[in-house]
Amino acid sequence: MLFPTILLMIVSVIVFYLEYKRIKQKQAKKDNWVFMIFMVLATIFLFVYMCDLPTPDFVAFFEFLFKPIRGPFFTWLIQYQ
Amino acid sequence: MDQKISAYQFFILVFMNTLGTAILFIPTHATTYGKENGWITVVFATIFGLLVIAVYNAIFSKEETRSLFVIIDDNFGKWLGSISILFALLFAYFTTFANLWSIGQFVGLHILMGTPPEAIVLLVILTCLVGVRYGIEVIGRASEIFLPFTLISLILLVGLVWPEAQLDNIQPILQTNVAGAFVGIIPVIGITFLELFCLLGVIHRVNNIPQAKKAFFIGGLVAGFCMIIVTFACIAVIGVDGTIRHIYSIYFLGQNISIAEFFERVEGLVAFIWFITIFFKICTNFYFIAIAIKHLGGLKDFRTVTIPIAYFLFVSAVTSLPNIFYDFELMNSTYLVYAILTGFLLPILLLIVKIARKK
Repeated sequence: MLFPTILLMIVSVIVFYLEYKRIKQKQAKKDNWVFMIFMVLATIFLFVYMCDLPTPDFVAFFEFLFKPIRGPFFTWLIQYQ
Repeated sequence: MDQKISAYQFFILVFMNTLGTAILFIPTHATTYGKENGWITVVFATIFGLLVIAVYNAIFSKEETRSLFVIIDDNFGKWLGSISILFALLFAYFTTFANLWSIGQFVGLHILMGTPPEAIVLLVILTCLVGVRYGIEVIGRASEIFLPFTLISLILLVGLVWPEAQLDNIQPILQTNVAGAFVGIIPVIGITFLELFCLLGVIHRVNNIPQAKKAFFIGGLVAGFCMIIVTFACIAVIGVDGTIRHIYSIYFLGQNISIAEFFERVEGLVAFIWFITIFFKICTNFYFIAIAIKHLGGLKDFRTVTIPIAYFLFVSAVTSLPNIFYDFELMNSTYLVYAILTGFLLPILLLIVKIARKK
């Protein structure tokens, strides 16, 4: 995974630079900040995945969010399967 | 300049959004609950789905020019409105990465066997990213080009399997599993009509709102009709057990095509229908996420966040779901609950508050 990881990180930096330049031309300061924060987070997210480290599990988050409802609902629903 | 789409383009987007994913999973889902009445489950799901669309349409008045997010903010207030938008945004995110995961699994298992799902997901997300960055107008125009191909493939598929149909497979009608047939409406609506909530983020872009509402309704009706026909064909041709056993029963249906030992196994048609419909579904949901973040962050341009979102979607799509069985369980539990809350309760609440504020 070393080669794809390095390749993706290089691509990320290039994309970051090009998009940053595009937004800067539009003179949207807030957009630029939001883009930088999102892009840094997204690149870290991708890097963590590429290095086979545990990534944030969104499904587990949603399961936790609806924990009180989903269990009884699922039990009721599958009895009709 | 604000991008605008026509009511006809909006109709196609509704059609594609309803059929994407659903065309592959609905026959199995409906038959799991309704058994031989599976197609009746889809009939009732379509009727209830049209009622859901009627609720969606009621949110937008005839002269409405505001976006869904502005309407939510105006009715719920800034804080509660922002929380509601975030809730809807996360639902769109969930739908998008689940769809991306589905296409990666399906293509990796049935078409490009051996190709890692990651590579397929990456290709799809990059294509969608390009589409979303061009804007809703380009997505709308592209959908116009692809509609005839999708419809022709669908008609060919159903038409060519018709000689294999055995009407004994759908009998007895509503004699057994009646409760299952009606309860099955809930999961069927959950992965079809309730996901159309994301299209409310696009409706203000249609150049004629009354026509857009009509297009919303007709799009849902046509897509519902297609789902009924496909489910009916699956049960009639491969039987109840076959439809339940095969995860992608419509794909197996395509494999059954055999005309005069000349026209054989055209399951590629199914794959084609699915690629097209799911592409537009992912694009629309992706667009919804981008414009929701734009609204929440008070940004000038939605394109600002499209590239990071694509990164997030890619990683979520390849890591969050372990296998198809887990996906099926999810579709009947967490995802369904989330779909009901976002696609049904949130619009109803919005409508009630809107009416109350008017009075």
